[in-house]
Amino acid sequence: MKGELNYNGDRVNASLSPTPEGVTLTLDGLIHEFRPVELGQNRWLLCNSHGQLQARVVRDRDRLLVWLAGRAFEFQLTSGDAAAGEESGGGEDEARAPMPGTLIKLLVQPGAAVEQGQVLAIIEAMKMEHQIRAPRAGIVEAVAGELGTIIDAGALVVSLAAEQSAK
Amino acid sequence: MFKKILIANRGEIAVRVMRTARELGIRTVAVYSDADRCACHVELANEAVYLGEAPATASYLNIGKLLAAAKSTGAEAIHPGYGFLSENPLFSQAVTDAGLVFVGPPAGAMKLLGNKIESRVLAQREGVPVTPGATFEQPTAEVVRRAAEQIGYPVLIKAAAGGGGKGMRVVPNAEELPLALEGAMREAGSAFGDSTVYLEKYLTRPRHIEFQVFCDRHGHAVHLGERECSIQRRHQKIVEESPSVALTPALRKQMGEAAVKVVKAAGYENAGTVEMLLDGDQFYFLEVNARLQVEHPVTEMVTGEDLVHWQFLVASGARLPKTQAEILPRGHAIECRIYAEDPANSFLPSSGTVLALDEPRIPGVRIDSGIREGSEVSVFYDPILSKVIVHAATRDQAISRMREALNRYVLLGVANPLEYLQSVLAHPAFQRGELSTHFISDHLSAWKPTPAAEPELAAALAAALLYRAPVANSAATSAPQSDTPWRTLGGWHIAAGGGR
Repeated sequence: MKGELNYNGDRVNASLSPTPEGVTLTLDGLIHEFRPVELGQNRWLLCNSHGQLQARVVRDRDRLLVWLAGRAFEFQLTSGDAAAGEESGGGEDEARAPMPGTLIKLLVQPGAAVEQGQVLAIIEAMKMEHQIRAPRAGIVEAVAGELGTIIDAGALVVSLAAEQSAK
Repeated sequence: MFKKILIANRGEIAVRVMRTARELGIRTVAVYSDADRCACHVELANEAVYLGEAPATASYLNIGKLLAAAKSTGAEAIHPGYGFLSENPLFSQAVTDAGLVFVGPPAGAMKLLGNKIESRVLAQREGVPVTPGATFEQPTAEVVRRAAEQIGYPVLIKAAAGGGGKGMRVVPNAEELPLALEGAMREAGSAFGDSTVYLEKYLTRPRHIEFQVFCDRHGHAVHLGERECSIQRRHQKIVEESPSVALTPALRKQMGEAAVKVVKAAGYENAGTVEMLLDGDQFYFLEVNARLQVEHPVTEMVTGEDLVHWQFLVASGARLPKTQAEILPRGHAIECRIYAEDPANSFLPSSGTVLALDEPRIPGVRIDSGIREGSEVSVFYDPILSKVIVHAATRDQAISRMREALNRYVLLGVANPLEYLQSVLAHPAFQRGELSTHFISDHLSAWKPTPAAEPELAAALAAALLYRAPVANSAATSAPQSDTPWRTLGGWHIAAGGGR
């Protein structure tokens, strides 16, 4: 099995291997030994010479979420089954919703020229308005969704016509 | 006492109101929208009535549907919770006109106190100090400028019908006044349908101190002590405590009596909160919130009283259960609000599914929660998920207990401020009790999550990799059911980082 994890947007350089006592995690060349105790219901105790750490793990599509000793960690799986749809051109051509919400204003139409940072649309979520701004200057190619519709986090709201650059 | 009530609300406050009703043997009717079919408050009620679509105007704000739900189930009274219709005089009146009991103040008192200018005038008439300010018949730029000069900059422009920071502008000098005035009036007009504004002196480092008051129908009124709610972001409280370290017994008595005076003069009934600002040892009346508040549990913890029980008693025509002399607060209580929001991303609300939830079970810790594992946090409503409230003998012990409770609160799947709240409680200024409404902008404006220490990150990675089901099987979300992880682990290796 091969896979990759990201943490805070960076690739994690780690490997895990079994030992007679438990597991060895190698992280950036440093070795960490643990004796894992599985408590059931996705709960673990990770024991080492310093004591033990409580952990709980859940998976959500391409995310592995870990609660460990009072704080939460989020790792992204960056392999075949995750993060589909990243192949459709650069992020620079797209203004996406930062969170799920209701599309309450669309301020541009296809063909409009926009400046970088210009407000293109407004999403309302949980009694707050959030502005979606142009990632760069350019011409609007398409706008997604109708007013009043609910859009998901990461959904494309406005796309800009591609620039003269090799893709 | 009532036999059956309807709770015109959702989330943690609906759950909390139901708890007291159940203890008193009162049957409860929940109402819900499309987004809340599986919500905790629906599950806990004796009956549940579907209102309509998720947007609040089609469900929780629809007076006609709420009254119909009460009628069809035979509920005798309606508890409005906080938010939604709780401070809408039309709703209070409509409930009464329908022959039902509104668990809250009468429409007249609510309307009077809902207008900030009128309630200021009322407080002044009662001899209660208000912040220096000015109101206008015709707010022309020139008239407002002259008033601002008399008060002295910085000044605050506020909407008469306002709340939640809408139609509010801090004006540091005369140059910025015209634009700020225009903006505040426009915002107030579109938010409240009333563009009336007034001026107040802007206090730079005040404490937010509020008093819990209670009035019955027989002319009795008491206060149940204060809550300090100085820790705020976006004009919204996130940490509250009682008592306040800033109040001497003499000042507490003075402020408490002032609070009672104001609500009595308004012909108030049921639970209310009188908000004040404290600048040094000078206090100023701010406004009255004509409902039960989010932070009412800290008062319950120190007084040992159940305020929702009091609300039911008063609404059913009984007298207040205690006199002022019988209300004796003990120890110290703190509340932290857990919102679905991302503190690292300017507190933007976040939605999603609660994938893991283990609430701390510690003596002296109370959790008022509206979620369970699997709950969907939708984008339609206020993003509060739950509240952690602790009670201890002293403030220091309460802080330690809260830190332990937050540390043991497992919540995955929805962005939340657990780590941020830890930073507030760990801050030396907070621990010394040096609080003001600017605490967060003064001390935590550049807050970022602390990077995890290497051993912790390693342990978290180990847990993630031990758990990880084969990638090809994306539906797999359960941990391997074996006594050793190695049957499913295989030779796990993560490639070294490289550009894609």
